[in-house]
Amino acid sequence: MAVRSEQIPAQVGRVQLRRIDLSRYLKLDGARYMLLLALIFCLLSLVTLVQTGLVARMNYELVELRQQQVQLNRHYSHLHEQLARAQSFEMRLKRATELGFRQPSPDQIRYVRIPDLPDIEE
Amino acid sequence: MGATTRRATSTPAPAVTTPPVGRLARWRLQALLIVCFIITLIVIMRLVDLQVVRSFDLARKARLEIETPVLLAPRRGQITDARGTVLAMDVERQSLFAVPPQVPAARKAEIALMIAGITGAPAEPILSALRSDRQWVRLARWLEPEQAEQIAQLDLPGLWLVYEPMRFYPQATTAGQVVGALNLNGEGISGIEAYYDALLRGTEGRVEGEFDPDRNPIATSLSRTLPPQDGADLQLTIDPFIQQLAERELKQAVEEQNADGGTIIVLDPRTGAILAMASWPFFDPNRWQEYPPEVYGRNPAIGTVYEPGSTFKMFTAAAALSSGAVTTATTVDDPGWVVRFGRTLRNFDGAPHGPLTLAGMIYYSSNVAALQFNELTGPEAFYRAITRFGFGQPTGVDLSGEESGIVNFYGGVGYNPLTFLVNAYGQAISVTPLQLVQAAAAIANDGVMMQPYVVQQICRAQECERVQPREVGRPITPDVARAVREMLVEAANHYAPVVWGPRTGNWSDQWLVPGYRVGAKTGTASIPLPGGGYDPAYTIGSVLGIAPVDNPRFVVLVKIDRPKKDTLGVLTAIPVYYNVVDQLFRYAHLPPDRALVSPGQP
Repeated sequence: MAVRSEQIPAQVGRVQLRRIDLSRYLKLDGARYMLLLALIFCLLSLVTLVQTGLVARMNYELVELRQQQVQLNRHYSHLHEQLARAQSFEMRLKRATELGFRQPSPDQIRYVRIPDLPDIEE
Repeated sequence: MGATTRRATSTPAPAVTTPPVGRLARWRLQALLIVCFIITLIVIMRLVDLQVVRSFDLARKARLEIETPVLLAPRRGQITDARGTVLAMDVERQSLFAVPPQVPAARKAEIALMIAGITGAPAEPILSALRSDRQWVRLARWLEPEQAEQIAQLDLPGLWLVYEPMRFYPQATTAGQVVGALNLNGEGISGIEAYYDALLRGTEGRVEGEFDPDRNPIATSLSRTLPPQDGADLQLTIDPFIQQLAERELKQAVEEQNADGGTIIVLDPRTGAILAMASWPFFDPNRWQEYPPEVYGRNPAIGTVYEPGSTFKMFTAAAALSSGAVTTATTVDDPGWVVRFGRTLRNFDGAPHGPLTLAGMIYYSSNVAALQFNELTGPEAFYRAITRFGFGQPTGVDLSGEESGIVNFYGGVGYNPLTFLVNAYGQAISVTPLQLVQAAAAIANDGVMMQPYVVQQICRAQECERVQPREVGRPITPDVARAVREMLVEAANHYAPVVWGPRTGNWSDQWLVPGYRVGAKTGTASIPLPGGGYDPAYTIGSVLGIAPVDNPRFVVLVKIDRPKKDTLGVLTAIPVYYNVVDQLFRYAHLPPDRALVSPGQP
């Protein structure tokens, strides 16, 4: 049976050689600092990108909220307008008449004097 | 076991044969390089063009588009009456705009007709606007919400609905002349709206920063917001019930008499607060363009002058007493007419009344007695008193368009002795209704004259400032004021049969308002004609009164211009005065004195 006993050390030698080459390759001398800087730059860019995205999303939400605010203000204004119309003296008089209220004649009025009562209009 | 070893033999590497670069391949490479070069050149040229040659211009345009600040409109202040009812407020209404190039030419006529049908506006101007070569044209302003909804549902091409602020007056004609109106540019043109325009308007705000095409700020850029300062909210002294009462009574009297106009003012003499101010014709500030300028632009209560007639006699009496030359017991003889400076001066009916005191002069409304009391007073003392009462100068009320009136003061260019005499009964002198009321309020307030005012509270940013009543003078002493008020009670009772005679059959003097001591003086004012002389057919009937006289709460002026059925005007004005005062007492919860009721009165 033939055994290729010589091949093992040769392969080991090549592997060792390759390791040596790899370490030399990874050594990169000054370039590794450049690579490190590039990596840091990329990371910072990524952080900035993420932050900008978040801010932009918040901006959209703000715009939506602002539009909601405008709509709510318009609705409030509309309700306020309806209230002002309903408050008019003529409307109140009409409503009072519908409810059966009417102006009293002088003989229907009784005045009660309460001594020492401060004037409510003062 | 035999081991065999094999020596590694190094075999020479096969020779690599590079294919020869052909002429065609090299040409391709060069062509590619040339194309790349040209592209690079174009890019560089474009870059230079944008970044160097047109850099400034483009940067300016970009700045304009991105950095133009967005203006924030302030809300115009709200106007409310004394009970908080809104009289004027800002609302948003949609206006209809068109981009004519975006409207299909074939549909312009159809669209114009549809818009006209919904808005009620004529179709021709809408069609001409749609056919114009403008890029943005307004078709209708401030649509009602229902109209805007209908137009939105039609989804017409090239038409846009845009919200715009609009001034809205929910009470329409109520206190229209007091509140005033805004013109189409949003500037106050009359009343409170004009006088307090700067205060109501507020201050514009702005957002400075960078904006997207929809004018929303870009959050990643720096921005600065200066918030707008809304206009101040004003609360008036106008009481809605009293204002409504004044307007109702005025409208009824004017319509019954087919009168040209009229004014009712109710003022609190203790403070000068104007509780009601109504003038006919009324106007609706929402539709001010539909009225002539003299209606929407002038408040007759402060902007129209007239000769006050006999209502002025209360000031003649006050001036006489203040001068010291006349007392309440001093009498003059009234033969019905007298001649002065070649002119015959007579009572309104020419009837003689014999010896009269000041009270008699007011009771009978004697012109002859009045001018004789003026002679005793003397022009210097008379005009000094008139000046102290505020005649011939604006009252300073916080309403725009106030007139000063015309008084020919002693020593002035227009003064003459005859004018001085006829001034005693309110002729040859012009006053505004409010001047009369302010002066009468001084008599009501024991000689202390207050500044009339309409705004009682100003609120800015949730902080409210109450306007304090302001004393502007003491034209007469309290004694003189009380004496004149007593004279006015007799005069009021003298005219009471106008109201009560037809009801009770009692035509003698009686209490004008049963249960209360009310003072009043009537006046029939002649109307000067532009060419000289006086209108022979019509007059201005008025009543100026104080109610009640013992603890005055109200000063009321009723003035009816040119009543057609009652040429003296007084028979029209007295019932209106009674109606107003009677309801004022009930509204103010002033209990009546049952001892002050004449036979037949309720």
